[in-house]
Amino acid sequence: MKRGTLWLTLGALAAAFWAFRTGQQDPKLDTTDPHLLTTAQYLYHFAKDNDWPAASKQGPFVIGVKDNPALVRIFAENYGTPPIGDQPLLLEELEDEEAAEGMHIFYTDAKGDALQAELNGIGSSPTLVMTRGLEALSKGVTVNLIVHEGLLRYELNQQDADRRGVLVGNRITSWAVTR
Amino acid sequence: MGRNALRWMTICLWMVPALGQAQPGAELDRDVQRAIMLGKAGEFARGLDVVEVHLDEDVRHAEAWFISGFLLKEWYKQSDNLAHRQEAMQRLARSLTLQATQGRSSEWLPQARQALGFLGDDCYDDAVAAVNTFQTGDEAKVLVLVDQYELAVQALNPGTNLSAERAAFHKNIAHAHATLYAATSDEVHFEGIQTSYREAIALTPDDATAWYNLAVHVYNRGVGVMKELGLETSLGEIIEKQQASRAHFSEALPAFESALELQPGRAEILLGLATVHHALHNHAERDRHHAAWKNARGR
Repeated sequence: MKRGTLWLTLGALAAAFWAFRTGQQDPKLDTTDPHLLTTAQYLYHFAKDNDWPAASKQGPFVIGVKDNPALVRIFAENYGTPPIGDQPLLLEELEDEEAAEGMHIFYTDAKGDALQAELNGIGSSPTLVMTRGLEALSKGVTVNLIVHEGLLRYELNQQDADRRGVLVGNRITSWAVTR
Repeated sequence: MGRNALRWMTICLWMVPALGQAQPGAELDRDVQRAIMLGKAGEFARGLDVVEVHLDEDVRHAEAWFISGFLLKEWYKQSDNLAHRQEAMQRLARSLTLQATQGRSSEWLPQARQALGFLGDDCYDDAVAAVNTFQTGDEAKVLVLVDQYELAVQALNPGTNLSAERAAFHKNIAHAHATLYAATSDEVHFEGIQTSYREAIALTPDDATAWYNLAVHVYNRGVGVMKELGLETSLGEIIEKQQASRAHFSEALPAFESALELQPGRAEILLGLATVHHALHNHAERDRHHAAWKNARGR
């Protein structure tokens, strides 16, 4: 063996030995947001466990997600686009001023005036509006995600669902929490 | 001349003055010489028979312990019988202990130390190899080899602190479990990760990396629980999975905090803390650690 090769081999062996002794292989932190996984699950359940007016049962079932591309990505990566009843699922990522018109479910992280502006745009159409972390259930919001006993749960505005003509499923109602 | 022959010749050479002194036991000296001759001829069992009658606690018989250990070492090298290696190490270590109580040196001591050092290194190499080919249930095998290695080290250099080396083995076993867990998702390996890191930490509590690695594995397990959610998951199961993952997040938190105590400015730890606080819905703590992480990363 040439001297250079020998030293290289010895160097590699020494590095492997050092790596063994120190046990230096750091694991990689999984940065997948567990709350987005939960939120995506809730979105799917709200889509399949509720009943929409007959007019909303034509064409694709549309879920619009405002300003939260990570949630759209998590949903698509983990659950794909499963059909909702007979309707193909369409998951739309909405930005800035894009309208939520024709959506079955509209998810937004907006609060205060920004939220109010979005609600005004939706009006009383049969769109289930889902928010996160509101201090109280605003008029026009059907579902609000809240932290309840350390877990991500949801509160339900039955009156708003009724106003929009969305029939909330029993399972959805039974797992809702109140403050 | 082969190395083996040279080794036996070295042993024969120190026997010459020993035979001349012929005290305190001529019988011992004669048997030792016979054992050497038998060993040289490859008749290890017979050589051991001859010398084993002198294996007692008489300090003057230290040499008999050495010769029997040496014979077993040579036998092990020919047979690969691990029981021979283990017994050889114990006898060589006993020879050193007995000789030390006499408070004087002896010609055979360097040979005994060299033989024991060789076997100790051999155990260490085997332990490393066992970790590198690690399979379920191999912990005991690895740790027995580490025990044997330690026996050699302590006999050669009494009082040596091997905590760091032992901890390195536990950490490498943890890593092996992590590899197997990634491949199989078998819960046994997740438990193995935790147990091994906790054993490493018990030996070297100041090891920030061990704390960090433990924290990351436990945290990742919590995320893994949430990734088990699928299209068939019921609403009730979503709650159950959140509870299970929260338990992992809560367990990861103090481990991250211990790591940070030891390495206050390490960016990875700060990011880990921000992440686990986010998972636990501790938003103020999340934001505080996230800001510290950004600061540390920018340095």
